[in-house]
Amino acid sequence: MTPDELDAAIREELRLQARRAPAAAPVRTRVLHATEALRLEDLPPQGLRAWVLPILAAAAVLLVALGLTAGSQLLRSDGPRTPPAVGSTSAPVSPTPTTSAPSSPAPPTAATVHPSPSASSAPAGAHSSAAASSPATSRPGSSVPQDWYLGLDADALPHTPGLCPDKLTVGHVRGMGAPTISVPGEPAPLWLVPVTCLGPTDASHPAPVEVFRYRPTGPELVQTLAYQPGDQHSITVTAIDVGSGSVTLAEHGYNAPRDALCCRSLRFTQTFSWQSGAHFVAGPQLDAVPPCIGDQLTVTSTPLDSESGDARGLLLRYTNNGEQPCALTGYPGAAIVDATGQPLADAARTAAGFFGGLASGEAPRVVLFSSVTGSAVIEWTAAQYGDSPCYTDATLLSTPPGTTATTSYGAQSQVCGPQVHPVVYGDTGKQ
Amino acid sequence: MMVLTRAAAHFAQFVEDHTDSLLGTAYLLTRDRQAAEELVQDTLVALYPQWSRVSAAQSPIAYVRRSLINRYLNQQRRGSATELVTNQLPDQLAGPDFARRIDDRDQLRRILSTLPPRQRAAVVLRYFHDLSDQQVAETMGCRATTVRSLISRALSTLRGDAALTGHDGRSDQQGATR
Repeated sequence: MTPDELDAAIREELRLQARRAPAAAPVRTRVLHATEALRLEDLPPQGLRAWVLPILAAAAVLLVALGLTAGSQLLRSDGPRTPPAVGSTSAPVSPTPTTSAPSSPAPPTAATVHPSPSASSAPAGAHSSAAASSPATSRPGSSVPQDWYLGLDADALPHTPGLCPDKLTVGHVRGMGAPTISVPGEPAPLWLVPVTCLGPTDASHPAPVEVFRYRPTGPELVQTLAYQPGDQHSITVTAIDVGSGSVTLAEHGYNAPRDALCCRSLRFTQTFSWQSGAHFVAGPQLDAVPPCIGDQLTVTSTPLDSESGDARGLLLRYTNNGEQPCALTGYPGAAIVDATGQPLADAARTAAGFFGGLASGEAPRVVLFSSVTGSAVIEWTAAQYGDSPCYTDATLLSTPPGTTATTSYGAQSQVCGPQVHPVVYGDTGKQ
Repeated sequence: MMVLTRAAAHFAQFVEDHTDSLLGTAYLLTRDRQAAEELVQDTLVALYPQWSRVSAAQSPIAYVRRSLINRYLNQQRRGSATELVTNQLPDQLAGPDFARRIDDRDQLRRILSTLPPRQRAAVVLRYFHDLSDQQVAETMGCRATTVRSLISRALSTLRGDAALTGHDGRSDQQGATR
């Protein structure tokens, strides 16, 4: 192999190897995200070199102007009188001050909201005009393109890292049509985008509302504003009320073609606040939502009976009666006691049964926002099947997961093979 | 404040424009996708606070590449855990039939992977980025003669020519003409 052939082989090999380099997009996102956490004020001023040239140039222009003025004065005093040249830049000094331009209005001190287009399928032109009227996007010197939010569509956003919680995939992104808010310090309005995440089951996954901001590289996920229990159909945030330093999202409905059982009781209202500048203080993250405590929940029950009367049960509904969200995970406590209160047995923990339970997978972490309801089912048979244990004159006791608030549900003539299923979203006890 | 904003905007644009190229360089150096990602990320994030200086440089990409190379070499000096261990010694590949075997892409790849970090960096800058000896020297923070020596030794390994016969002169000519 000649030296030239070796050179060519090395170049070719390096080119081939470089093709296996990691994709740039995730790295870009992580770098921009990491540096975003560094406040701009932490940046030192530009180096000396960046200032010296403009200052020297300005000084040179000033000196030239002074020299021209001085020369002109000399000519006027000593030389022959000549009319001033047409278009001369040396204007006479006015003895009266010039009228100052009207002062620009003070920057907004609180966020303002931009009305959301009525539907996500509205033509792009409507969005362009909405954005063009935004004071933030039309700010002089801003490099934010007025139609940057056109990147907020189902093609681009599903690839945003962290869009959905672990093990969930992006099912639907509304993108355009999402409401926006202007936050002081942000070069462009922030977009609040409801995202539907698909999990191993249809009805147990959260639907986050994500906040995006403009970046030259494309929309950047700032953080998750809130999670709503949802189903695979889109959930629409239909109202935003902006007060002084806070925004309230209100979920009034959803566009599901059917009345999704998981969301029938959904009453989502959550308020968030931010500080000045670009620091958006979001609401509780799903993982950070604390477990529900006993007095935070209102527990109601409904007896369940099969048509044949063999299968019986209790549908337990847990409603968050507080203002802060809380989470229920796993199985309620379910015990059988006799007339004296002595424990006879615990209900078997099973994923699903005749009346309810999971469609598949593991027990979900059910986040209950204010006034939102989760539910679980305890069931048994009135007659013995196989070798299932039976208890007569038994009383059912149940405790919501993670709490000590036990409720008694009265005596049953016979309870055979009692089972309890995990808490799920919605008020039916089943996914 | 506008100065700071410009620096941040320049940084974002730089990340958009050059991350691909930097990842290519990092991958050729580290031969590991995750290590390459970390090298690029760490380099860019570390440079961000002084980005006004980077953006004022004659060639910001050269500035960043130099920082990346230095970071890579420092990692190697500290004995990075990501260093690949091989039982294929370069000497085993030298021999009269090496010229035939180097036609095999796998062999060349394996020999390239055995180059020491500084030789590898010099080869990547020379052959992947097509830089001159002087430019490679500026990027690596050493003298051009050192670069020529590094590349000569690397080529010697690749050709299985321990005597470096006739190679130094060619390398010098290349550096002079670039």
